[in-house]
Amino acid sequence: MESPAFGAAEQFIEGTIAAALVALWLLAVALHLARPYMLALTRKFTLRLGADLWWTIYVGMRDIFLLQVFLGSFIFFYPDVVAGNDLPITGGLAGACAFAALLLKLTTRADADARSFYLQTFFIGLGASLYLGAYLLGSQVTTVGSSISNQLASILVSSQNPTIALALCYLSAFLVGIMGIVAVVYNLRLASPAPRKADAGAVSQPAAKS
Amino acid sequence: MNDQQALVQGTQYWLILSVAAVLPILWAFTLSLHFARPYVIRYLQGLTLRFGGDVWWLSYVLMRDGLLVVTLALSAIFLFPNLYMSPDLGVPITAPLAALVLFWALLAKLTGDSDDDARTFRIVSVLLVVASMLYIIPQVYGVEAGDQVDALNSISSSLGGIPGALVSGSNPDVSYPILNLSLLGFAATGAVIFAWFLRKTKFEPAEIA
Repeated sequence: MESPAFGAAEQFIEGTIAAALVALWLLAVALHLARPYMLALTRKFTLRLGADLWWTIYVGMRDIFLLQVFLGSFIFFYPDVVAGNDLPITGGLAGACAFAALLLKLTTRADADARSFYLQTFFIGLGASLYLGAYLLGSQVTTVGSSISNQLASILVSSQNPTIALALCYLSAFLVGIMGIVAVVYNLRLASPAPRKADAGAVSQPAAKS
Repeated sequence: MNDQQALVQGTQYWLILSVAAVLPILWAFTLSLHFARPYVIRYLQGLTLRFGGDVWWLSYVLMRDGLLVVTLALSAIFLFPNLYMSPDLGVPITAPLAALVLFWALLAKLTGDSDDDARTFRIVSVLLVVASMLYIIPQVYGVEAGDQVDALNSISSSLGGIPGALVSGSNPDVSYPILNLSLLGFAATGAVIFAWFLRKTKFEPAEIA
């Protein structure tokens, strides 16, 4: 169904999500990099319960914000939305980076494995750069009017560079699909009747604890 | 149709299509939480206090299962014949089937213990993946790719038909049987749940309250 009011309302929502993603990316990066500060504070608690709650709330918030970044980035997998709105051209790739960091959290000992943590930091940093760079230098300079800003917008704004934008849209969806399959297979392997010795603990413990 | 009716219908369509556009995000959220289980368990094992462990695990289970129910509740709109078959709206063609398969996943959760029983967990996982694909693929590459027909035709003439084929309103020969099959499946699954409830549950007086 095509109507100006409907199109305007849809564009308003998509534009709002794109703007909110800037704040979400900043929060995700900030919470990820705040880990040493949180750890230092955790060690100062004199009551075990306070330390556990502090750390649990931190980990929960940090991971939920990263998940929200990925979920918000879902609009960059919709071809019509990407081609028709002034969105950052690398938004889909940034979403794929957020998903890669989430996949690392799932498949490794995320908070106890330094290598995995550095890789997560890399993906979160790369994703934030891809999103914030294209948003601030592309989507937010469309009405500035200078020759440099017009040139930047013609490269970094999805509606002004639809061929590359659509290619990146399909590529991002493909990458997320592949990583999604890896996550599903990982879960199904853990839940198989004869789990690998290294994973056995992760399968059998939870229900007893809950 | 007068102006008031047109406004009501336009707002109704906007609301329904917004729900349809948000559902892939809800599906991704649902899948993310379901498949985050090993991560949540790994973290749970690191907690030193029983209280912290219980809060963490219960919060996780509440969010995960709550999202499943919300996704099913929102998916129920695709079982309304007027909305699903409307040529003006155009919703994902396999959306009713996705809702039905999600209902089966909830049935598996209800009748088994997917947190303790690996077999039930695998069944729920496969059903959730199938249901999400049945929704996300036609939504993204059908409903949200309607303006890409010319671009797809420029790659290959056979690709241009994909968006239209994945939308319910433009493909009534396929969407009508899908709707009927889904309604029948919903009724049958509901009857199974009702029968299971009557056979398996034992009435216990709520003396604690």
